[in-house]
Amino acid sequence: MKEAIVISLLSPLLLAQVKPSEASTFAAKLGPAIGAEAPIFEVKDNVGRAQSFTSLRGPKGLILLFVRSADW
Amino acid sequence: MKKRGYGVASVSYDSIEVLKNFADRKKLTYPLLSDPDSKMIKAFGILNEGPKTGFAVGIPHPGIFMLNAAGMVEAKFFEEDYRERITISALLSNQLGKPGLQAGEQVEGKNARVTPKASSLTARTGQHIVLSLEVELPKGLHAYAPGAPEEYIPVDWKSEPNEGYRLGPLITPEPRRLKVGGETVPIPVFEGTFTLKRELIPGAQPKLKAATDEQGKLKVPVAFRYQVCSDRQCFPPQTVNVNWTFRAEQLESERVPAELRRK
Repeated sequence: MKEAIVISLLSPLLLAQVKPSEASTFAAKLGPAIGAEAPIFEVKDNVGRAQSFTSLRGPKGLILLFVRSADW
Repeated sequence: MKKRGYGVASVSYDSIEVLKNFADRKKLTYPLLSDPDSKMIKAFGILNEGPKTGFAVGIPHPGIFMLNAAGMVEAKFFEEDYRERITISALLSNQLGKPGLQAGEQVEGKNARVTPKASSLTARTGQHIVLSLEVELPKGLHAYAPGAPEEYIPVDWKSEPNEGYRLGPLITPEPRRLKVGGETVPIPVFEGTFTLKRELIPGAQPKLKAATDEQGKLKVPVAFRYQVCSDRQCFPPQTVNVNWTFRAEQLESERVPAELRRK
């Protein structure tokens, strides 16, 4: 149930747009290829905390959602 | 998502203040990363170079990266049409096989119990929601999978066209190949409990609204057809009616206070 709540809260923002089609050439051209290492990053989050791959990942990894804007 | 072992974060070019305002308003608990100079967006190679001037300079092509624990890209998802977007719940359902939420009444058909499930119980314009039809057959019986020879009736799930939404093609699990009496080639079948899937894509706002009832519910009725057989006999083909119900939601339109907005 908790997960369901999290998901419903996430959905308005998580407007990454897609069909899960790796076959799509559009997806294939964008960003690092499957199997490639993602770039290193260090940014601040919404409460001003420094965040990086290491601080964000779970035991299996990290899902990063790139969105246009939280505001429009 | 955390339960599945993945951390989650969003990335946008918004300032910390905008993200804080948004997260507080929406009571979000995952980190929203601020990339005001689009450095991270550029490092990932997904800067949208379309906008040359104005407030949209610096936005990414929206999409999702799944990174493994070592930081390698496991999967990525982008859509050319920005009006269509995958939901995180559909991603979970497709990628991680997360069972859906029950989205309608279970129906007892002859020799089959069917349960409608979905990756989300709310429907918004342009989302991709995964509809799952969980089918349970009694032990010793099988149903035919698509690709079976003509005389066998494969499982199928039909719906009337509706202006408020469209449905994607039927997605079936890998069937088992069963040697059926008299046949020289094994026939593809499903046994036990199996799940059929189809994507639901709610339509444009006015049409979605028109397809919604007074309580704001969007109903998606389908007719599930199947034929089950044992190794000795076949039962007549059956059709059962199954309904999914969603809460239709308006697109987000509330913004942060004017002084925080990107110029």
